Amino acid sequence: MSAATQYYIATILVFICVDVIASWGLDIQFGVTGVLNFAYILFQAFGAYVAAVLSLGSSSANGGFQHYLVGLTLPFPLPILGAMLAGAGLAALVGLITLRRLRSDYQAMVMLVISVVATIVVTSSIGLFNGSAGLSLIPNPAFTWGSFSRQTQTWFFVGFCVACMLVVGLFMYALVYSPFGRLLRGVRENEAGIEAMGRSATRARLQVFVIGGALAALSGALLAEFIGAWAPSEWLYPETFVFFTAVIVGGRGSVSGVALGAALVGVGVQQAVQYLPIGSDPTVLAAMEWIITGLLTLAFLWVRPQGLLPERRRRLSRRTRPEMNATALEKAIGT
Amino acid sequence: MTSHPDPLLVVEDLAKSYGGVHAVQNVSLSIPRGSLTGLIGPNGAGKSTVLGMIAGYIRPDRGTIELDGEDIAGLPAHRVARSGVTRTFQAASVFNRMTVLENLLLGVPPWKGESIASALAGRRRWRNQERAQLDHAESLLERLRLRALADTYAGELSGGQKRLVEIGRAMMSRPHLMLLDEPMAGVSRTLAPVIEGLIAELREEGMTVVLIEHELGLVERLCSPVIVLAQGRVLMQGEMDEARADPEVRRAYLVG
Amino acid sequence: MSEFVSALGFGVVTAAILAISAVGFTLQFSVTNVFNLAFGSVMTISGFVAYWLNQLGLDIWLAMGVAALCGGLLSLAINELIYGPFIRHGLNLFGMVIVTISVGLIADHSLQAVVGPSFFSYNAPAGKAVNLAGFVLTRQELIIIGIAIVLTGLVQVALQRTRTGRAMRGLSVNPALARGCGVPVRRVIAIAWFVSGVLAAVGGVALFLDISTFTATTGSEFLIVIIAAAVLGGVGSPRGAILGALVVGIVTEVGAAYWNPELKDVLAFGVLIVVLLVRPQGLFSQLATERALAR
Repeated sequence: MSAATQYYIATILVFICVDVIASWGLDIQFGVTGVLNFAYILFQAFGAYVAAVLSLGSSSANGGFQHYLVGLTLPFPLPILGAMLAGAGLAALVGLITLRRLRSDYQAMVMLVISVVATIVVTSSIGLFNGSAGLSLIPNPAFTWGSFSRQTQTWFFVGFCVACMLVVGLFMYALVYSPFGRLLRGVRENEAGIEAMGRSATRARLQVFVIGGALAALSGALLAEFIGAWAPSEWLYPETFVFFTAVIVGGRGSVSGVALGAALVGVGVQQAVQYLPIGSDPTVLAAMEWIITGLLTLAFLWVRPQGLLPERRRRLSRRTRPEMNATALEKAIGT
Repeated sequence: MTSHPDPLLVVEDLAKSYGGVHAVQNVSLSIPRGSLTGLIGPNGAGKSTVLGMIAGYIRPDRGTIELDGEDIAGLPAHRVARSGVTRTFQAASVFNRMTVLENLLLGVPPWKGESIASALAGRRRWRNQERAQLDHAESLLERLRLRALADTYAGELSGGQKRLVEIGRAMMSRPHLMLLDEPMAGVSRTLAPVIEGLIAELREEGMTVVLIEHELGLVERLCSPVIVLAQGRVLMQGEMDEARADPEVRRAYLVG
Repeated sequence: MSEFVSALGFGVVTAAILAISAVGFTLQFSVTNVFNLAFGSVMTISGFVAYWLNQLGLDIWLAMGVAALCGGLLSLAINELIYGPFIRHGLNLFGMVIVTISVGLIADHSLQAVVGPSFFSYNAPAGKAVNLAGFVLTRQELIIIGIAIVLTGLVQVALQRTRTGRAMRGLSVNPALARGCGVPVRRVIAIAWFVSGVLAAVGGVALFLDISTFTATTGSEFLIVIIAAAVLGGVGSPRGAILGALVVGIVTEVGAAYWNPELKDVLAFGVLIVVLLVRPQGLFSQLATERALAR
């Protein structure tokens, strides 16, 4: 296999892992709990930036052409852990401010605006994360352990991403199919009802906001370390909706469903577009990706809102009895 | 206002207005322990608003709400629920895309197994407790004669069945006080007697219940005492036949 | 001082553009209860219709008129063909917002695929500068302000005096009651979408004139500022939208002159966030209170 093909496969694998982790983060917020986090991309971006500044070293090195905060060279995997903590922290802050008793679509507006504001602030404050040029020359993590061949470094990182995805997957399964997961779904289904049962909906939302923020940041950190660069053009506010599409297409609330949706919508669409008979103008290709994403969302919301692999029904009753149709039961018992 | 020797809930001077409209104005009442009190009145009398304030969904402008001596006025809904007050809603607040059993499971008082830490620690942590809760839920379903619907999504049930699940869910935590906001709304004629029977059983078991209901026949059969509200004020608190005879009450119903 | 006056002048022009757009946005929201995030796309597409007509030689103001009609029809079509069916399908508020975003994305990027990523400009001379009570404004800017005053005034009058307008106000306050009183709901809603589209189109062309160069995504980028103005005044209140537009327009331009021009929009958004968190019903609307806090 040629080096180019190897790199291509590695890239696809990393992107799938990153998209799956990111979509899971949004799923725990939106799919399971019903939080419309329209600022989701912001947390992926923050994770990417933090991982970058924790591995780039001092900003005056390398000729000082990049300006950014902090600037450390922490050994792998500390920058990634640092990014997750930062993502969780930012989510806590944003969550505390926005997750109040606002109607859900108003709340979504606030988050959308926060996402836009963040882009403007980062782009115009050069000292923060190097403005619109973004950060580049982010070192590949294996680099910090010694010098390896480019291929080894790449495959090591692919392995690490897959491992992260598996761990996050286990985490998601544990969370979603537990009493805590049940509580979250209660918040999604009927907030007034869950409050009447003594449980705080706001607290649950804040918790998933933080968890999702950490996962988004993890995905961003992995992405930035792999690509080696990160700029505002990567995280404009519409990017959030790619993840929404992944969750809707895959299956809201379903861990395996969302993973499938992420692979299809994240990587699948991007690859499929290249095989369409529309030429190779990058602007047209990019536009086509967006159009297909939007059409997928509409199609699924119309035809199959529960997604490709819907949330499983939890059959908890112990004695096996044939499930009766509700009206038949009424008639049968005469109640 | 007649005061009772052993009130569970005492409300003093409760008020709420919405931009100039006085939904509730100096409402004071007391709910005797173990009673099934009816809260009646014409449309717009403020009954749901009073209930909402007691349950913590609406913030009172002023007034105190003492539950067993402790003032709960202004506390958020989930805190009030933790003090042993549960409520139902005009539109049954069941969790549609969850099974009936899951709905009931969420009725148990908040427990440690529901935390993130427990979820990550693994099934072993919460499996036993969940089993016990399931036992309790299944016997409750037996009582409600809904056992066959245990694994059916609550959203697929009829109005009356949803109401039964909602009340059942409220019963899971063995509350001190149950507030029922128009429990007969959306319930078919076949299931109405079942629900009425259930409420009567609750009273017999010693539960304190406050019931908002429009169907006065039901109120007469079940409730003692009865509180009449009109235009945000309490007109009287007493027995149903006293209410029927009261001229102010009759005027309120004709006019309001 | 003259810097302030000139910034104020810019502010008034921006406010004019915002007022037209925000009234359109909020009117439609008040009647239908849907946050239409494809509004910006309607603005952009109408702006491009005017551009193509303008390129063919049509005077920009006439082109604006034609674009206004197109915008109205486009907006109506989107509701009849997409939003309406989804609402009848049973989709809730969350779902509808996502639907409108998807429509916006599809529209914007379809346009972009056709016209490409380049910048465009109208063939419209700014006209002579006129000195009006200390403000120096070009003929073009004066016309925009004039259009804003006329259009928003017409909307206000129509809401108060015409039967359709009253029906719209009824629908926005109490839909169930309005239906019960025999209001022809579907027709009134259709008119609301049409009018909203017309205002989006006029706002879009005015915006493109004001900022000189535009792309396929300019309208959607401006949408957030429009939402800021509408929410500030109280979503659902056209009068509030006008006041919100004035505040946002003037504050951002004056702020840009005295502070950092790059952060001009941040000011508007900061205001919006604070308002949404502290007083989501906005400054002027009673009705919006219930909407903001209800579920």
